[in-house]
Amino acid sequence: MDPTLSTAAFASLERMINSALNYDPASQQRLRQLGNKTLQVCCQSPTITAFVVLEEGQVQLRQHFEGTIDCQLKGSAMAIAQLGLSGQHSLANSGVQVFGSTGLLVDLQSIASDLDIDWEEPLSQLMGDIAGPSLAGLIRKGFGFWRERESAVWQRSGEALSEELHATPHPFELDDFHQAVDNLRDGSARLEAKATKLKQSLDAAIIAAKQGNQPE
Amino acid sequence: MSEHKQDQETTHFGYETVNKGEKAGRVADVFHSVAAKYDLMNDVMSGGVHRLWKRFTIELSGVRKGQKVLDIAGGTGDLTLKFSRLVGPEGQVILADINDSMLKVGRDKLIDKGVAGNVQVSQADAQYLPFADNTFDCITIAFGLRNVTDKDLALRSMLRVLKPGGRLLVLEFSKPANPLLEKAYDAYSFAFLPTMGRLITNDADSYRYLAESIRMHPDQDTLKDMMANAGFAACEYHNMTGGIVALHKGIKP
Repeated sequence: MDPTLSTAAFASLERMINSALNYDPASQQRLRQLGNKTLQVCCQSPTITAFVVLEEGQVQLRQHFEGTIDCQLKGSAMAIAQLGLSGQHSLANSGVQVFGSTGLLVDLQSIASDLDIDWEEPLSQLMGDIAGPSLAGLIRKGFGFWRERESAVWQRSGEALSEELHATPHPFELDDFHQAVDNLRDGSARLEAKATKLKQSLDAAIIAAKQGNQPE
Repeated sequence: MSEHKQDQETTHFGYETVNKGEKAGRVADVFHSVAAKYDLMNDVMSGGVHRLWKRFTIELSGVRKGQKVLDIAGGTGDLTLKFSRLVGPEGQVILADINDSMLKVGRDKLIDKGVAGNVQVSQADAQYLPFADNTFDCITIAFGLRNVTDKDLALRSMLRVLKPGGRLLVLEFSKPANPLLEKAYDAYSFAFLPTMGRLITNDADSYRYLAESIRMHPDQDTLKDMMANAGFAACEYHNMTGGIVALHKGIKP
């Protein structure tokens, strides 16, 4: 791709992200608390490499970066976009590989999902002190309604699948299963440690016995 | 006078052949004339795309905090402004230009934008840079090399003041890769540019010189060879906007 086009795309996206952050001081503050960090996104189909550089609460999007990379994401564009939009924290079956600090990724995902833009300021600047806040109120209500509906749809679909159709296990059953797996893992780790200790004691006893039987 | 000697003592000023001693003065007249409205004309002529070319140059510079950068032919200070933020208070950026009118505009613009402390302004000829050997981590020359009388001499001078491992970035108009684009670009350059120059700066000749000087400038591969001949290693270039502009990069070994 011609660098002019890719640079234009990066510059526009960067401007959009930073404008959004300017109207959500809480998210900007959380980003500032992360410090100066860099996330490399290696998109494999199509092949695009992007660097998300965090500096003083601002986001820079670059095509080239020569400093230290804190976290690297690899996957197809679709998989990376799904990971970013779904808000899921598990990478299992996501088709995305992560190298380096996964904490940075979780923090960025959390900031993105909690982004709450204060529309009043930009709209007031654009439309005046009466129409601006009214429209901002409508937008806020619209977003709130949409989020509530979305959350309700997910919750009711889940309930229908697990309780009515019995097609999937209930989240509580899944939690119990995870707990059981964790207990089994801990138990086998303890057993392995005990077996190792027993083997070491046995080896030491055999060596001592051999030394005791040797003629002087 | 032999023909060879005559060749050595003349150079191009747009499509004209002039004595080497004469070119610097005529280029200076062009920039004295356009300095006040240089930024406006850049935006009009390129439709703002020159900002993207410069952004890409900054990205490829790899400049970090604490480094020393020389922005040759820096004119109105677009690159210097970005570099001053990248190098931070512990770094240093020198805005250099042979033309005092351009420097005045650049210095005022930087002061207006609150840039001070890590930027110095120097009136300097790219062919004879007044800096010690191995001084800079990065040198940029954006839309300036084609106006230099002896480009090889300028490249050697840049090599001298770069630190080993330092990089030179040359952002310059070049040759479009597509013949159709080249034809459209020619029509645009020779019809639209002088007209806009006359309307905005009341100076059509300077923008006719701009169009002509771009055609006389070495193409991508020739400039790459010139950089390699001057002593730069790992020379490469990136075509931008279909080759209308190219960014050349070289490293001092």
